Amino acid sequence: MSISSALSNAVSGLTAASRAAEAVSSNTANAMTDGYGRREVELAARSGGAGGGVRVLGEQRMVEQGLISDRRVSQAAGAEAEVEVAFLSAHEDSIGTPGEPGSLTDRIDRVDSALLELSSQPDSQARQEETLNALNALTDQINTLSDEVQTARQDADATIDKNVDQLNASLEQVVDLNLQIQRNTISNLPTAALMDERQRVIDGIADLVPIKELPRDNGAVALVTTGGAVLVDGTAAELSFEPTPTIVPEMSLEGGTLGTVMLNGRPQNMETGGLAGGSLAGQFAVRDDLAVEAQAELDSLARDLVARFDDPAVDASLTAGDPGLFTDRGAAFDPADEVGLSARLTVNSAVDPDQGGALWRLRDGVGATAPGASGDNAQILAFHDALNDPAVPQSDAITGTQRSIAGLAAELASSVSTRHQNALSEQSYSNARTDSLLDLERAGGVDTDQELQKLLLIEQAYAANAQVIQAVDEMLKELMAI
Amino acid sequence: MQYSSIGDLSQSLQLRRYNAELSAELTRLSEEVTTGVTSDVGKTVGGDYRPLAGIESSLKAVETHQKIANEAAQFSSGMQSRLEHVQTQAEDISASLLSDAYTADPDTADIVARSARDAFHSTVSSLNGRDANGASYFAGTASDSDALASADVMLDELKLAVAGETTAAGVAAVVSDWFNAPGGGFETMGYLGSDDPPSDFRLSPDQTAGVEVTAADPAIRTVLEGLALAALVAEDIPAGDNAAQREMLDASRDLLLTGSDQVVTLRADVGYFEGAVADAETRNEAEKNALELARLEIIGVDSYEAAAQLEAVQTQLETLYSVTARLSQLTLADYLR
Repeated sequence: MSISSALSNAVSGLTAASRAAEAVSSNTANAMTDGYGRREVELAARSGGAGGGVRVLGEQRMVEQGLISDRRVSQAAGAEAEVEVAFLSAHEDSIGTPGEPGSLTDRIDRVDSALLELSSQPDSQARQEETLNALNALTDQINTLSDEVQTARQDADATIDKNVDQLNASLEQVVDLNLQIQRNTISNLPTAALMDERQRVIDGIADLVPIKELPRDNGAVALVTTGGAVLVDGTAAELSFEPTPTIVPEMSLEGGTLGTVMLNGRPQNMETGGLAGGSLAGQFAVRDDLAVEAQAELDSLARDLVARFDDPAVDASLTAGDPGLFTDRGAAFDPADEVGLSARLTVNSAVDPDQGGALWRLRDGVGATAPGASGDNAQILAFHDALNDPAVPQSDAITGTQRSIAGLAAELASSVSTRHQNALSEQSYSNARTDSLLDLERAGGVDTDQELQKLLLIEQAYAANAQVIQAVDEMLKELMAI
Repeated sequence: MQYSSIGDLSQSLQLRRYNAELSAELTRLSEEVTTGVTSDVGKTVGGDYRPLAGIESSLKAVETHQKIANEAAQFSSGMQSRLEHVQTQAEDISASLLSDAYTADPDTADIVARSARDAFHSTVSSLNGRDANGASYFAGTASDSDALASADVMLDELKLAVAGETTAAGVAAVVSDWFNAPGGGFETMGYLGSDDPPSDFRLSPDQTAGVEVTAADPAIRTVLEGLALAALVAEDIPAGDNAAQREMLDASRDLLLTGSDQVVTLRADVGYFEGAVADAETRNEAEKNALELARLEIIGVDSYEAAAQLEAVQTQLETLYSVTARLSQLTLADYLR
């Protein structure tokens, strides 16, 4: 009967209006939530049966999947650049800028000045002490720089371990959510909240590795990295990593003493392989590339320092093979032992009264057995010349051209800074891209003005349907009153 | 992409981002206006520290060279004044010996001889002078030792050496040998310093210069020999022989005349060194100024420009604040009450 179908239509209208109001309320409640997909209720006219009325097809989650994918890839690149920038920035800060007191170049200048002043008064105890202090300050800083580089490697290794655990946990979560979403989709239950959650988890993964989301049946997704490694497809891949708590300069990935990430038991190349491109790859870049390069440069500088002063042509009191003014932890330098030299660089104890040596050896030569003429500065001037003479460094990690030691240090600082500036510009490019994609993504988010406008309509629709029900009710009463 | 609406979040987060950027810019410009130097050196030099490092090293070195030049000037001036004293002593005694008054009167001879002996003491003590840091002027590289043995010790040695001589020529020959023969008395126990002249001073990165003067220099030996001969006369050597003593005074006068000329030459050498030091000081000063200018050119910031930019950013920030306030009032909810 048409009156009862009118009633049923009106009731369906009420239901639709309530469902729409629910969506509007959820949207306004989540207006400030990042990563929330705006809900929209899909309505369609009811077909079949008595005809008429409205059917709620379902709640649609309005997200622009293409934007999200692009943003995730850009986000991964930005995260990788961020890790590299952090290391380079810290390293550059430690080296310091020329002119800054305590910087590497400043400490070398301090040694130069101390030797120069000593040359004017070779018998002055105060100036000899200042020279020793300046030498120690230089070696201390080189030692510290090397230690910091290795600590950065250890931190990177520890972070990789944490990230791999986090990645495994997230992949499991995605598999879980996939299952729930599939179940809900099949039973026609709401899935929007679960999809929000899944998007959030995948965004977390996107920082670590660049991710592509591929649709599967019934709302599930598969996760593949841009490099081609399959992380989730039905089941989650298993990642494992063997951490190395203490790292020293001799350890390296190529040498087998450091670990890499295993995907389902197969070792991954983090530079060019499936997992490359995110902050996880960035940590590996720090541990195996940037820090190793930094260490090599420091070792090259240390080696040059040692070589300038252990030459009997410079220090007449030495015989070939004796340790000079700078030593490898007390011993002479062995070219086979260059790696890690910067951590072991020390001033020869023969010139340090606190270690059984004597300050007059700064004037008379490191190997001198007895003090010479107190006013003789020939050896001191020879030391000063050794510091300043342009010489080709014996190992070319920094440069292969002739430099004084101050020039070599400036080259080192420059090369670190250049790398830092390059990484910064990479990072700022990625960040700018991510920001603009995020803006576009958020532009499709909740607009409270629009929600309130919809609410006006919904109120109107609800009131109208309620009126219809009232009217039908009156009509039935009329009928009953016959 | 066409949207029928713009999400709330996009606008608010964008405004927040602009705010953060402008605040950072404001901080950076305030720092630059205050210090006059760029706040991010690495970015300003584009990652190439080599010129700046070169300038900083050179600046520090120039300051040290100035200090050394100063010390060199003090050292050479001290030497110069002592050499002047030696020259004066030689000239005074030779002047009184030139007057010939002593040839007739043994008492006058005695007076002159005794004043020569005093001059010998005074010359030796002057040559044994040390600078403000306790370094000996005329002992060469043995800066911690006296240049000469004390005048008394040297005179005693000489008296022993001439003990058997009776003629003036004999005494003069012995004294001459004592002072001038290689391995003679002066070299073994008179001169206590080292054979090497005082160490060179590095006055500038490419200039090392020194004064090659010690108390063992022939000029000084000649003066000391002349004074010593006359001092021996004061000790009545050869005993009682006035004629011989007069001859000795004649010899002393000749030695002192030659010696004082030679000391003048020595002083000219020291003067030449002092000139080199003064030149180096001037050059270093000019170098220092040039380096400081070059340094400012690399990392300096024009304070006028920085202040103007600071004004502009401040205005921008204020505009952003008022835009944010206005936009936050544009919401439909306010109008639906």
